[in-house]
Amino acid sequence: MTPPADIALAEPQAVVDVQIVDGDIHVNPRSGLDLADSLPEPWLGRGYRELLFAGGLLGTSVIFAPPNEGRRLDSFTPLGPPGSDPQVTGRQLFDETGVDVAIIIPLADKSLANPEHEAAMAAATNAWIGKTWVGAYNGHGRYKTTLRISTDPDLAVAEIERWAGHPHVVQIMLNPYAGGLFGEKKFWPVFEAAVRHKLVVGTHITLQRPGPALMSTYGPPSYYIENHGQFPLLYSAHLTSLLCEGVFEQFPDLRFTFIEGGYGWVLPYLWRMDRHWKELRREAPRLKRLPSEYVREHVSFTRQPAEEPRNPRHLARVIDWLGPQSLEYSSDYPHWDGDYNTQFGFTGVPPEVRRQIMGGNAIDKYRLSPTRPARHWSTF
Amino acid sequence: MRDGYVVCDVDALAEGGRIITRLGGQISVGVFKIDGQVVAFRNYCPHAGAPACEGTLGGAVVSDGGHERHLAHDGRILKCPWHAWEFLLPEGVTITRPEYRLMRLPVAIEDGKVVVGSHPVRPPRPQVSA
Ligand code: FES
Repeated sequence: MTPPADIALAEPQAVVDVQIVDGDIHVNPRSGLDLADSLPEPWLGRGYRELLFAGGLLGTSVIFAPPNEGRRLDSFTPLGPPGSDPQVTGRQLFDETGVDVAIIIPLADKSLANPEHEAAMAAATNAWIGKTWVGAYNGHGRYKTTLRISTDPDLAVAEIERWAGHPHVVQIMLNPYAGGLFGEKKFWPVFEAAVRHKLVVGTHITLQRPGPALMSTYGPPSYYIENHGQFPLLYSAHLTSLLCEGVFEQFPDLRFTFIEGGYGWVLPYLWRMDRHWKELRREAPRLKRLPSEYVREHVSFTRQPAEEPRNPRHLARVIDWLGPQSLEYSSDYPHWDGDYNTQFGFTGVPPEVRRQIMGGNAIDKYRLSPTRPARHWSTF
Repeated sequence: MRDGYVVCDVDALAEGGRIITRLGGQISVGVFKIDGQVVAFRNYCPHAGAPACEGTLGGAVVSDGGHERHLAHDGRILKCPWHAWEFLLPEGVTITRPEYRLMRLPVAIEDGKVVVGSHPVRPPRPQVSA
């Protein structure tokens, strides 16, 4: 990778402003066995290794068929799967898309029915990312990461404590198929730990957990498009629970990110919730204010896969109505449905609002540095 | 052709084959031979700008109703490498909404060479059944 001459020659200490923060990228080990090497004992040794790995990552279930195995075609490399080569990822993400800082959402491990197994896989994933993408590959500091945790709250908190204070860990990820709605009390220790360590809580679609992961709200769908189109329904169920259980009253510093569910659905949903709150709030007394107020203060949505109305100016209206503080850019690199054109979807949006969505909101929420090294990433 | 660029010998392009190149070292284009016809497009997807000409060439599964489904346009559907929009060749229009199309460039065969111009032509709107 030859950096452009003007950038490569930048003063070693020179910095530039962070303009684009990408809230959702995925990286992968070259082989599932790389991850196995990071598994904690006793999961690594003796019989468990075969149990967990049969030449790859257990838990991968190809039931639906997204195009190109779910990845953009030009991200496949001879050496390994998309997102496994820091040279290709750096070129496509930093050089071609123009991303300044990227938040990794690790999907290398799969969500599993057994929370202890899941905790081991999460620990392995976090350790592997710690060594590689936010370790050896991250001399420039442009990768930040999200901790994978078990759906068992005790095991989740233990993993959070292990990583607390790491300079590149900015978020923890609750699996949206957590075996319950996010507002339930059993998850509060996770929120408490996140707030205590100044970490954002996020959720990201996964497909692999047995059971409801593949469901529509009322039965098993036949097609990938059915599942893909209904992410907002899953997220609105969790958001409703967070609101009605009073999670944001209990944790006033909690910030929550819904990743990869788009955002066009949020406002009509909030219109309904605000109306019903006025009528029904007595039964949910911990919900003290209009639901939309909590959302504007505590919740963000990454916009990919962005809705594409026939008239692109309609998106500007949605952003205006919802308020730009709730929206953040994300590419979902290297996935097939990614948002790789950073000009896309901003027809009629004022420049200062665009800046907020592309980076400003994420800098504030994740407490990121507003600058990054000017030198080309490949020179670190 | 005035302002045209020689891309290759006409024999270098087999039926169903393609060449990705840059006109004058600048403009990325894809040149295809489909149904004996040589066509050229800007290598730029009208959706979000992916190098569309580098996608896979195949068919599209369509249904006339009931349980029936079959492969149509085999070898004539170019699928964008990013979000899989499907372009019907040689016309270069999307199969779902023909008003979205690849930017088609003029092609001439001169002295056994494929010559491609850099100024787009607007192809006739085809009938697409899908
Ligand atoms: S860029 Fe080609 S389908 Fe989106």
